[in-house]
Amino acid sequence: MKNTEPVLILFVEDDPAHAEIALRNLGKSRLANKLVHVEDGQLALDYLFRQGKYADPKSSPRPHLVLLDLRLPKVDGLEVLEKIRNDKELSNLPVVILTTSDAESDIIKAYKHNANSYLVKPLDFNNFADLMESFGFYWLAFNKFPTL
Amino acid sequence: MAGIENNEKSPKDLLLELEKMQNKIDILESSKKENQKTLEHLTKSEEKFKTLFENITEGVALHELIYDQSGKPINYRVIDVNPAYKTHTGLDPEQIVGKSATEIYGTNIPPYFEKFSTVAISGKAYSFETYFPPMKKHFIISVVSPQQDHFATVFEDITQHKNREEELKQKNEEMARFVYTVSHDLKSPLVTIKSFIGFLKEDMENNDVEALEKDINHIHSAASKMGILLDELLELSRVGRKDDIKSEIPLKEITDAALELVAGRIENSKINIIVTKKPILLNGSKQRLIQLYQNLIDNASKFMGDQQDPIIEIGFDKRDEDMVFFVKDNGSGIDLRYSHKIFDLFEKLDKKTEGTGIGLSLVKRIVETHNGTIWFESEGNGKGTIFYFTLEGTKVEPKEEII
Repeated sequence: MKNTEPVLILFVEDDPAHAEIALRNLGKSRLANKLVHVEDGQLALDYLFRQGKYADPKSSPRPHLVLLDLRLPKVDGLEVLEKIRNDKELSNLPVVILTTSDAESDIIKAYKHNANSYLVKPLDFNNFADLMESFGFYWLAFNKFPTL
Repeated sequence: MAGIENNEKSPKDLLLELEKMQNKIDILESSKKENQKTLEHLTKSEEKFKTLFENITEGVALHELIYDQSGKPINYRVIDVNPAYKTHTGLDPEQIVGKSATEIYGTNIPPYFEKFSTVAISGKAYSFETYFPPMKKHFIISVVSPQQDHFATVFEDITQHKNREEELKQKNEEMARFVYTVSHDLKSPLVTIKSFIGFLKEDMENNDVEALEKDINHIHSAASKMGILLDELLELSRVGRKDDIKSEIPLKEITDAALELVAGRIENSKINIIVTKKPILLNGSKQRLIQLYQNLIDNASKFMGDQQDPIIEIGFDKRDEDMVFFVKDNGSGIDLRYSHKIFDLFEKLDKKTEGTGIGLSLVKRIVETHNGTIWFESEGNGKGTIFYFTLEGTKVEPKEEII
């Protein structure tokens, strides 16, 4: 029932401190995963569409899941999501939003753009730890991924 | 009495007739007085109306309907307009009195014909707001019918009012975006602080001193960042409020002060600065204008990229009627894909540079409080950037002329 193969996550987060928090907490679930971290929307697109410094497919294997912040420099999260959904090959790629905003308008917009899930970074340390642990179990251990 | 002839009247009869005549004269007199009173009344009334007509600030126009042969109203004619009419429409009375609507406006259908004719026929007053394309103006118009088949319009040009409404709407939207941005940008470092405080406990449990130090630094940076954000926001909100306004400040004084503030970075990056020698005088807040130049110059020097021979030029052009200032650099330029975000609060296109990203927001705000506009041109990719802006009330010192 559980996935045995490591899940590759493309983690798009511009704040290095937030990236560290998410990763350290994710690590606690000890679930097999490989993670690529990029710091802005343009790099995320470069990775997914194999352009720029990620032109070589060997440097940019297809991720199973994208963990995406909304407010990013250069190209913002929603635009990245839109480009993924509009692409024939990538349109089924699961995208989980992980962001600071809990504004209703942002949540609605994300789902309108067909995000698979919307998570809000908690202020409380324990809550953030629990969140990442649950995220890990749900997506890495239980969720089945489509072949792209 | 005996011996009275037909035509002769007795003194008594004469007296009676005299009385009757006196009565008639009295009646005529009182009638005349009444008529005079009525005339005075009418005259006063007419004067009242005339005073209103002549002095009212709204435009007033009297019209009558024009009918076709079958008795159907098809047009209307202007009978009279008040002096204010020209103020609101720009049209001269000679151009329009006595003419029909279709003649005046050159249209096939007389403007607002349905509304006007309905009032003229029913006698029921009506008022509405409208945009009138031939004059490119917004009006509020009241229509009333003083007599059958006639109508009068009392109207006002509200174009400015409408524009201000639109401006207010935009400012409110800007405000909402501002609040959203601020709350997000303050929440972010707070998340960091709270999470790393949690990690500190773990580090202590693991006796990991190195991790402890690193995590404390994260907390420290985030707290500092919040402090800076708050300070800058306060600064931004203060622009235009307590600013000390002076007139005829020489541009040189401003640029000298700004360059001094950025001197360190300029020297380190060995940037060549060129400043116009034209004697320009500015009106406004000296402190804010220095801030304006300081931020633009600082930005230019931070984004020199790989430029081996960095130059920043500070100058000014005369374009038609406007005096346009510019700060030009030959650095890395601005990627036009992100150009619409350039003046957004806290928006940094390159995360690795110093600063919170408030600089250009501050610059824009300062320009706006000086009734100017700011824009930029850049071809990106190492081809440099030019920031242009206007400021109200600038002039060149009288003894020099611009060729």
